[in-house]
Amino acid sequence: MTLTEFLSNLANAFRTYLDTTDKINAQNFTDKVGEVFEKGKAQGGGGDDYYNAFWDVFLQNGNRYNFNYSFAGYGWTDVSYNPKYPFKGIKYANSMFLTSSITDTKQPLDFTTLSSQVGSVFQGCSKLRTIRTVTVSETITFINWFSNCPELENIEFAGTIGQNLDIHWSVLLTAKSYHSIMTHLSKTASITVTLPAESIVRNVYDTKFGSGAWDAITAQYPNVTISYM
Amino acid sequence: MKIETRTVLKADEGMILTDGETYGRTILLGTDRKAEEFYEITDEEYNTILATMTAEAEES
Repeated sequence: MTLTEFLSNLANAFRTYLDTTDKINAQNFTDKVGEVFEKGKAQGGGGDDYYNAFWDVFLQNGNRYNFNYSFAGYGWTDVSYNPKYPFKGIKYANSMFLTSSITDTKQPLDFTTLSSQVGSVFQGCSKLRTIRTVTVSETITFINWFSNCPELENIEFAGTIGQNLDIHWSVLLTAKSYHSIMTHLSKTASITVTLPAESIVRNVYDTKFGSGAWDAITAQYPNVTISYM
Repeated sequence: MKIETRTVLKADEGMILTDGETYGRTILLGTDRKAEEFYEITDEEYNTILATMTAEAEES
């Protein structure tokens, strides 16, 4: 096949897939590739349609409430995990992300509607770096929620932490993450927060917020026992 | 003026402090907690407890 024949065949293919008889010059081929791709998506050939169809069903158009083991297992990666709805109205979340390979929860998680205590929500997520806003209430327990999450850097809380919290496995937490944990602790409950080694926490927090900042923030919570691993 | 100081417990080398529920090498006690509630275990004992807890969590 000559180059001319090859280019002519390409132009014919573009005309077929774009349903046109217009002349297509070789210098426009790059644009035509994009047009074919977009037309394919619009006709339900994949891309956004597959994404929408899967996540609409899997998350029941944002109304799913039972997330027991829903994203558990190494098979869930940043490619396969791409939820299009925030997680709200959660009633069950036992081991929701247990040993998942995702690095980012990508959507906020509202646990204030839990119907029973759950454990191991993020346990064993060895690659997880970012947990988007986690909304909690004072009665929620955190049994093994963050066990073996060594890469976790970013976590943001909303609501009030009123039960023991152990996040000492996450030695890479940012100052902002420590601040979010501390500023959402109950001011009255007698609880224990277990953090990484004291030297790590102090260094990260005081470097960001100034010398003495960690002592100042812990002093605001005399009801809280701070345990450093 | 009232100056309140909080008790800090530090485990000996190779030891972990626990009250049977929480664990740590350094513990800043909340004002309603007492030092007597805590005792030391070895790192080895802690690792055994941790392994048991992890196995139980994964089985549940």
